[in-house]
Amino acid sequence: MTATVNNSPNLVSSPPGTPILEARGISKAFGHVQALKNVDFELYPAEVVALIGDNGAGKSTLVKILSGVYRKDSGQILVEGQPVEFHGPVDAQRLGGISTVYQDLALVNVRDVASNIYLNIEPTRFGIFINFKKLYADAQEILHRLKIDLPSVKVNVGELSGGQRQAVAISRALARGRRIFLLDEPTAALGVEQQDKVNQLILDLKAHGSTVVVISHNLEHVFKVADRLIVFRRGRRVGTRLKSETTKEEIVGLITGAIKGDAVEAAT
Amino acid sequence: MSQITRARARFRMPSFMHRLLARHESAILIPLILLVTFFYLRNPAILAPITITSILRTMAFPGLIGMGMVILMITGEIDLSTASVMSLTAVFAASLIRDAGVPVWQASIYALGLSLLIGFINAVLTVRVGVHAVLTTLGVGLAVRGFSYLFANGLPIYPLPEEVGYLGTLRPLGVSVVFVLMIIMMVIVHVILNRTTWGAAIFATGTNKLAAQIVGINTNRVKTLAFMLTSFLAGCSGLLYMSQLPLPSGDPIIGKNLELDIIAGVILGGVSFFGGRGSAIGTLFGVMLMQVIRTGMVVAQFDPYWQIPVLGLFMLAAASVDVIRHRRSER
Repeated sequence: MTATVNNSPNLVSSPPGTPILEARGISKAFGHVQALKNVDFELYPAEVVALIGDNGAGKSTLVKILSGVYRKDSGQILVEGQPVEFHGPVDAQRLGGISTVYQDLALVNVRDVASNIYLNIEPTRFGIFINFKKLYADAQEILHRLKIDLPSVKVNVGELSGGQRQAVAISRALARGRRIFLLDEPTAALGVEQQDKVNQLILDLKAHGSTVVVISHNLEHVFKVADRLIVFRRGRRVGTRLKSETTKEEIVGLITGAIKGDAVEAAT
Repeated sequence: MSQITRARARFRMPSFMHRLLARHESAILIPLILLVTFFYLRNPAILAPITITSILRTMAFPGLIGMGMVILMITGEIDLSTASVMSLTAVFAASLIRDAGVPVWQASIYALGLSLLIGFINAVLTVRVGVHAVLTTLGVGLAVRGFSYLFANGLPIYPLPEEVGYLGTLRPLGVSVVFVLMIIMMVIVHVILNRTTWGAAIFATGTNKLAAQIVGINTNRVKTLAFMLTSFLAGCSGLLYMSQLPLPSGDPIIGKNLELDIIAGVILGGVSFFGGRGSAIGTLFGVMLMQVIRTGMVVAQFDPYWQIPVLGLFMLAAASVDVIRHRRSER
């Protein structure tokens, strides 16, 4: 019931090559609630994967395990084929190159954009004095690379709009050289125009070779950006589809259970 | 608030005054000037050199401790035990000197070590065990004050050798050693908060613990160090207070009622009870404001019983402003 589960469905709907991140047979329970049941998961370089499913389907739990916030009960995580253990978010970042951009964004509102992007990795002089000149220049460069338009890198993050805050959070991950971005409901609290900007940002990340995982309820959004869609239902992975080979109707059917999940993935 | 920051972002090199007034911590200058004017109109003696010296000398104790408290409160914690720590370090050092014959400098080091230990205990109970800092440090403060009385049998410990009073009688630049220490600490804390990675970690810890932890900041360690620094500065204050007494003695009553001056001063100085906001310069002005009120009421011949309630009211006003400001920033 652990690493031996056949992940054959991926053969059908996965890009070729070695996954940069792989999870095998992940299970997690909270008290009596089995949030994840023997779930496999894999990510390839430069793709956008959407995790979809109803509330409580297990997608957020999986993301929290991959980002080191929760400990898995069982199963294995592999980074480029090597088994790793995440004891906390820092492990996930350092060992896995995984960065999570949370729904509430986890930014320090009283500090400016540049300070947030480089929090705890500020360029320094003599080891402790922040080199503000380099800090602002570097931050400007990151924003430029991602084509992010902000009034100034010296504006306090607390004064930015939701989309701009999202951009700062993503820049922060990029500044740390992360290759995998887990975005939890990136467009949830945003207006249409800002949603488009975030979508563009996701595609830009992919163009730079990053892998992006998007958790979303919003199928419109998912179909705009994702290459692969992975559907969760009641703690299980019930389907994996390439966007080019599926329809919204099929995905909705998988989410609600109207369409029966793939046999292998729904087993156990 | 937002306008202020935008204005700051627009001007690349704002003048010193502009920057000073743009910081909301400096807003305290206005009540400070108003109060001095008010007292001056009642009795010009408030601006007599001797009164000013007295204000500066008295505010130095809460001011010095405030420089640790401002860091601690920015991380979102608080220490109500500092005044008691002053008492215990003084009594402990005095007892070592008089009863155990320990040299003064050595006794001072032991006493400061004790203050660090108390800060560490505060940190462990708050950060590791999870007791709210108000309860932790209130309890530890009561215990510490109690030990202090027990240790001294309720009486001042004296006579002490003359050298105990040495630092207390020094007057560098015409002010006390504590005052000089406070100014030095203010500069250090100001630089730490605004110019260093430590400052970034301190603000992140108090504003958004999750954000801090995600980027790998050990928020528990940040808080623990802040607790220990605050307690250590309280220890220094205790020893210097003893040294400054007309008849230097380890008096358990040292620091009594000083909690109000420290906490209220720091809050008046723009530190937020919710963490994430505060400055060293604001703290200096806040503590100064408290002392101006105390001294001004004496000079202006108000009934001395009014002092404490007036200080309490000022603290409540500052705390209310803090809450309103916090709610607005939460939106």
